[in-house]
Parts: sequence; C-alpha cells; structure tokens
Amino acid sequence: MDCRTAQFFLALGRLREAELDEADAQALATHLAGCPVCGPQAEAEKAFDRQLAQVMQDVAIPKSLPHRLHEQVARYRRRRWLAYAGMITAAAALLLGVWLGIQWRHHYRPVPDLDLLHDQVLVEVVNPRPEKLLEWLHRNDIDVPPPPQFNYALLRHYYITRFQGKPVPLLLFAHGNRQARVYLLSDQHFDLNGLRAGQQQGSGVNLAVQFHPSDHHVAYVIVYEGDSLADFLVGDEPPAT
Amino acid sequence: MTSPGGRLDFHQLVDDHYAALYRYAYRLSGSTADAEDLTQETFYQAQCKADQIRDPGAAKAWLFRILRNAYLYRLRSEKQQRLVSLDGLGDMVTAIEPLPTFDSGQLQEALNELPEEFRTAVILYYFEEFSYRDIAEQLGVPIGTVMSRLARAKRFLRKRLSSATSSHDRRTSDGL
Repeated sequence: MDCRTAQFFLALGRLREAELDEADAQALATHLAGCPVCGPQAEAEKAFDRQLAQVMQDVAIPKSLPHRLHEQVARYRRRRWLAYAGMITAAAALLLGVWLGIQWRHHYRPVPDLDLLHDQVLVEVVNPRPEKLLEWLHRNDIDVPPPPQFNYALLRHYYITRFQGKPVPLLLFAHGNRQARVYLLSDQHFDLNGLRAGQQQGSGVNLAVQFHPSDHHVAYVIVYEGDSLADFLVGDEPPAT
Repeated sequence: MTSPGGRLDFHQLVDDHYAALYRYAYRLSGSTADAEDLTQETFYQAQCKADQIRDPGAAKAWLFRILRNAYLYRLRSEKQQRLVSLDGLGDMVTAIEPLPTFDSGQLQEALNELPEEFRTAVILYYFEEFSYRDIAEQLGVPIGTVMSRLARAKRFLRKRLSSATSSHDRRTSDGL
C-alpha cells in the first residue's frame, strides 16, 4: 500500500477493522508500521479520535430526566388503558342495549288496546262453517279455545286479524242484523292482567271482556251491536273440543 | 426488552437508552432544554408507534431515528441555522497537526456550526459508535456519502477546535 491510499483510509476517521476487508486492513497496518510519515499521522488521528469521542460524551444528564421519562411512559399507558376501557365499555353498553332490545321485543306483551280493536277493520273471511272452527285453529297453530258460552249456530265468519301487531283469531257472530265480533286473546301475546272482565257501553257498539271459565290464560274481547250480548250466548253448545 | 405479552417494555427502553438519546439530542441541538424535549418526544412517539417495531434488538436505532426526525422537524420550523460551508475542506489528511485541547462547550460550538447531515453523522460515529452502515441507514444515504461526510466533518472539527485552542492560548498570553 502506498502513502496516498493509506492517507485515504486515515481520512475516513477512526478505523474499524471490521469495516475494512482483511487484505486492506493488513496492508494498511503494514504500511503504518513502516512508514515514517503515515505511522505518526495515524497515531495523531487516533489520539484526536479518542479525544473527540471522550469529549463528545461529556454531557451532563439531568438527574430528574429518567424519573420524568418513566412518569411520561406510565401516563401514556394510563391514557391508552382508559381509552381502551372507554371503547370496551361503549361496545359492551351497545351490545347490552341490543340484547335488552331483543329481549324486550321478544317478551313484550302489550295491554290490549280496546280502542284500537274497536276501529280495526276485518281483513279476511274464511270458511264460516262452525264445525270447521277447531280444525282451522289447529291448522293455524292457535292454541286458544273458542268461547264456550256463545251460540255457534250464529257463527258467520272466522279469520285471523292483527291486533296491536299480534295475530289474533276473530269470530264473527250474527243475530238478525246485529253482529258480535269475538277476539280470542292469549297471554302468550298479551298481558291479560291488564284486563278486567265487564262491559263498556258505546254509541251503538259495545265492548265486553270475558275470561274462559276454566282457563284464565285466555280472554275474549267482544265487540257487539245492540243493548245486550245475551242474544249471542244462548243455548247452543260450542264445537266439541 | 419485551414484556411477557411480546410488546416492548418502555420502562426498560427508557432505562437502556435515555442517556444516549439525551446526549445525542444535546449534541444535535446544542441546548439542554431542547435535548430534554427531544428525548421526551422520542419516547412519546415511540409509544405511539410501538406496533412499528417487531425486533426489540432494533429498538436503539429506531429510537435514534425518531429523535433525529423530531429534531429535523424542529429545525425546519425554526430555520435559524448559522452554518459554515465545508466546500473548502478536503477529505484528505495532509500533515500531522498538533492535537488540540478543547472542552465539551467548545466542541458543541463547533458542532453547532456544522450542517445537520454532517453533524448527525459525526455524532453517531464518535458518540454511539454506529457503524458506517448504521449511519447510512439513519441518514438514508449511501455508505460512501457517510464516509465523505465524516471525513470532511472531522477535518472541520479539527481545524475549528485547533483555532479555538490557539485563540484561547492567544487570549491567555494576552492576559485576557
């Protein structure tokens, strides 16, 4: 190695053998050991490098710095944790709300709204034959016994209507030019505890509420014309159950 | 370095690297207040970006890179550098020069005059013993550029610190 090449390597700063390939490092070492110019110069460069490195690190570090950094790290973690906790809480609240909504919707049983029922319009007319009534109820998965006190010879129509969003069987009885509509309500769909047996008089149309004599899970809401319901109740037996 | 969950343990990172990062920040900025701010900002940003690092062994270089970027961001905002040109300085060592004597403050004054890319290279090289390759990765330049910058920065420092020494000697001999 000549002096020019050696000077080039010396100019690169503190020499690290690991960053020169083995042949260059060996050639440089040999040259520096024997050259009266480059050898002392290399020593001077190394001395300057050592001094520079030593003074470079002579920086006083504030004693409180590590404590403040640890506090900062802990503070950041707390904030992150609170943010996560907030998100998890919000998500949990949302899920709980959805679940409660589903539960409420599933179990909600409204108190029968008689005014709504009063205004409801008949929607469908099916087979009016009394002897087909039970068969029809079974076919439609309706486990509600028809009212036993009615005269089924007067039955004209029966069909399923919707009352307050729930499917409700409706029996239509006719006596002369007067009608009685009987809504069969089950406690599967309605909170029957909110109903009281009795009658309400209206302007030409009256309402009556009756419970099944032996099954209090079933109520009948009757909308009828005329002064008395008695004409619809007389005598006849209901279809065999 | 990592917690049992595999995440970086930042308290351990603080213990391992705060001193080096503070010194680096001080030598870059020349101000104790800026050095503290930069060190704190570095750990804050590191926590925010913790998912960027997979290898805990690379944490040191990663932290240094964050600190330098934070410093550069400040530098661009402040735009009040008083820098020297290194164009007149060659890379080659030309003669044996007497070893200057200088203290930490004089070195910092000289460093402050270096353009940032030279200053960063020389600090990393002398201070944290980063390899040429490490410095090249930190600065995003080829290794040859790092070598050239180091050589020129070193020539500048030697010249600047020698003149500081001789002017100090002159002042001393003049009774100043």
